[in-house]
Amino acid sequence: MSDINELHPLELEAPRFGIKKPPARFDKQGTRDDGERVKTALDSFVRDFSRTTAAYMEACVHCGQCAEACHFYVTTRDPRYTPIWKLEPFKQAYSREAGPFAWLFRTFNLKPAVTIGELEEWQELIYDSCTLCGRCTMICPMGIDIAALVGLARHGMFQAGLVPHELWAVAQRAEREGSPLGATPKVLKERIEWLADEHDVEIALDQAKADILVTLSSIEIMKYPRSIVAVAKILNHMGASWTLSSDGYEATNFGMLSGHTQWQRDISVKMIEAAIACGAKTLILPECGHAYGALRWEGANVYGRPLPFSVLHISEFLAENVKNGRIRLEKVDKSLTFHDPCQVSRRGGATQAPRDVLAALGVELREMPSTGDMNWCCGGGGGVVTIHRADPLRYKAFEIKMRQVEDTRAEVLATTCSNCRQTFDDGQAHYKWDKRMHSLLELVADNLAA
Amino acid sequence: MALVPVPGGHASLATTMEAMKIDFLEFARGPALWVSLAILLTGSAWRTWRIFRLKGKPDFSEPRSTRLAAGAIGTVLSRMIPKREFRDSTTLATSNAYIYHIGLAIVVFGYPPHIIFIERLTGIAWPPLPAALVYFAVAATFVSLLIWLPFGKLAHAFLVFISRGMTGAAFARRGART
Repeated sequence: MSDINELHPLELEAPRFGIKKPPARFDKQGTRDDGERVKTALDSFVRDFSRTTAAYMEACVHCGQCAEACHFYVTTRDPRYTPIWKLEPFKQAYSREAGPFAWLFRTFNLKPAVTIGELEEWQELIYDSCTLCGRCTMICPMGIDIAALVGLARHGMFQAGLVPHELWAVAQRAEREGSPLGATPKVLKERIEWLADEHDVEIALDQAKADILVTLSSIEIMKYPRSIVAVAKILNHMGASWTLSSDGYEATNFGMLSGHTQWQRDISVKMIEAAIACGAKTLILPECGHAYGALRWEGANVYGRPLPFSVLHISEFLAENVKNGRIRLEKVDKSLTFHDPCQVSRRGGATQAPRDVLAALGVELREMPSTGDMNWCCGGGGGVVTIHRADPLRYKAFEIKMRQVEDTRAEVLATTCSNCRQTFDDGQAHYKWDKRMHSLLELVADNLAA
Repeated sequence: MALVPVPGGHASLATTMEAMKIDFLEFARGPALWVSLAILLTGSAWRTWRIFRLKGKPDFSEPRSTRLAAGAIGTVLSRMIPKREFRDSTTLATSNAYIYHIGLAIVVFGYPPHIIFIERLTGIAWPPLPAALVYFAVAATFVSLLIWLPFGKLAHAFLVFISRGMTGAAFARRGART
């Protein structure tokens, strides 16, 4: 009871009894009137109705099975978190504006028109309570890719200025400064000089020509800089021709996560042009899940033509080179459990790569139940970890992960995504948990054979 | 349905009813059937066309596999059985649906009168399934429905009287309207 009293204190002096209004559940950008916001969102929704989207919109049979696949539903049992329900305004827009029976839906009001109040309410469902992890896509008996639809619905929400404040702010900062976390080219250069000096390792920056362009996640640059040392050590160990580039190093894509298609393109094109400029044959993406989705699977599409180089997640690059013998490793005599980043495994198709690396390290891999491309998300993907008001919900979802990890009784916990890693670090601190997340990349770098 | 005048005398109730039955049967077998079939086909074609007339998005990303048709067919087939990880929440609903759909398919497409009906419409016929199998399918479908009835939404068959009645009684006590 005392919790409730503190959260919502009674205002006994007020003209009528009541409780303080809970914190606002939605944010707004800009000063446009509401009618214009709704119209902008609808126009954007309609632009996103392609052949695939339409097939999905038509196919849903409202069976509700997707709920059981979602970590937010499973840990709260709140029916609002049923994945397909998060798309209700998107579906309304489709039925009334673009569907085969649009005139019927409008004439008889079979689906109500989208309103500003509804979009405000749905902001939480489209952003706070969806990590775009796509587990719901795997359960849908009609095969609807629900996560992809949530990604599309975010486009209209951004256009209408209805994005959670923190996510909007980091996306805006990434567009303005080139990094969502202040890792500007100047900061990167200083970090690299410091790391090279501190760890006595050569870190190639702005080489005119190189076979491999390495890209990074801001989270690594600012929070886990040892990852940069690790990648440098490994590439030097292989004797590879590689470089980082001040013109295109940032691989996180908050344009994509927040729903701004032009910003998404800007971020991807920087890396693409940097790779072309140095004549790279391979672009390596960092330990980051959504960066893989953004460049590996969407990069060429936002660029408008095939890329003249191959794009690999760092775990794929490591797997390829432990197999061909260019990376030689010491054995690690420990048990380990691996957390799959959704965008690399389930949504990216590179589920096997990290396991090949772990096999080469000789660890005893203890898989969690429901693993690989059926893994449970850490709860922080899709930009959710940036949204502060979503913290209580995210911590609930994280409980699944803690339980899974505990059940394996493995000595080491590793992943290959710095966003998952910071979500785990935050969850660890919140729950005062004694398990620490490690990086697959750093594990490899620490165990290179002499 | 209009009364059918019987020529040369007043109609007895029985003959009028008989005439109405034939009249209605002819209507159901004739115009009603053709109109409903036409709506079925054009409606489905319209809904499909409205999907495929929209633009598809070209994908320029380097494919990991080019066996896309195999992927499409593979998922169509693999989704017939829920993944192991989801069995806890899906097994009951899925098995029920299987019994019901297979039973219905056997009855609709395997029972001789239905095949004759379809042949009359389309000229296409096929050998019927053994009567024993059809009767078994009817039994399985209905038995599964009967077994399921007390546990699922079908229980409205008896619950509807209880819940409506309770509200009715409680409001009646206060003189309020339901």
